[in-house]
Amino acid sequence: MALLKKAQIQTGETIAVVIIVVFIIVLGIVFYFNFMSGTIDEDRQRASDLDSVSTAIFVSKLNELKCSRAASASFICFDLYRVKAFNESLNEPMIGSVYHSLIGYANATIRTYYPEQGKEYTFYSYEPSNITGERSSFIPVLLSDPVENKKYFAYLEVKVFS
Amino acid sequence: MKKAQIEIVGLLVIVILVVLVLFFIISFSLSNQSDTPDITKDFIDHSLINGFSLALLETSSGCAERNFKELLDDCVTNQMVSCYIEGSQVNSCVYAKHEIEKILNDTLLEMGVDYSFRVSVTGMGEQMRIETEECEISPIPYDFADFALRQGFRQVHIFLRAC
Repeated sequence: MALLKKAQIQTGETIAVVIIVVFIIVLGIVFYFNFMSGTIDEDRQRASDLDSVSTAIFVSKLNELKCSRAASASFICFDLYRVKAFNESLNEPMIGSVYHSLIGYANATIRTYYPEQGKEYTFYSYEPSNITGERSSFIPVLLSDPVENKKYFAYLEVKVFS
Repeated sequence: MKKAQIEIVGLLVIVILVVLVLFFIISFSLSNQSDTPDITKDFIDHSLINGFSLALLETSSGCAERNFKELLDDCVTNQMVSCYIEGSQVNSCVYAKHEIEKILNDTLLEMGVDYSFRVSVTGMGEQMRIETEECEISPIPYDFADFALRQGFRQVHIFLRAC
């Protein structure tokens, strides 16, 4: 009887040890996969941020849009009439496809704040049929109207779609 | 090997496993906390503040066909230029301050960025200050731009700080 009891205790001990070991292994696996999925999400987010910023920089540096008078390298100056002409030229399928291959799915809009607020010029718009996400970058720019001899304080918003 | 020794070895294996799991948890947590640069934020802050100040200075002020740089030059020198705010005649300093504050509020403050804008002249000290309460309190800027414009023998400093 005593021998049977001892054997039962030993079996119980073995079962307890196995349960603890399995618990520890499961805990480790769960933690590892949680961590990995978090890292993947973070990397994806960072890649998306980088893509958005690099597209914004690319758009802001387009020589086709810049003011004819050499502006300072430290800030961006767009010529209003070049912006309008650029937008019209994108209606040509060949030109449109060239810029689409360079910029990708994005929206680029210049919004004025001063001296007149609320003027909007969207000069590039290429949206995917199925938008899963979007990120916007804002860059302060000068929008020059050489005909009216006015320089607007404006923001360039580049919205990148994914 | 005696039975008691075997049990001790079993116990040791469990302890080693627990230590290993804890070690992995701590090492993963620490590597996760490492500071990775926020590219977007850095870019936005830098381009926002630097580009902002320079674009602002070149903007048409709406007074006497001058841009803000020329208006501030006049403000810190002889104040010859007269401007109008809602029909009232004011000097270039009052006008520049009023309009720059409007721009800063419509843009930076609207985006949730507190600011401090100052104009000072070497030898004459601060000539203009426009700032939000938050920026007045906060001693540490997260980005700032400081430009020097030459005006005769003096230097005009335009300082914009985001808080």
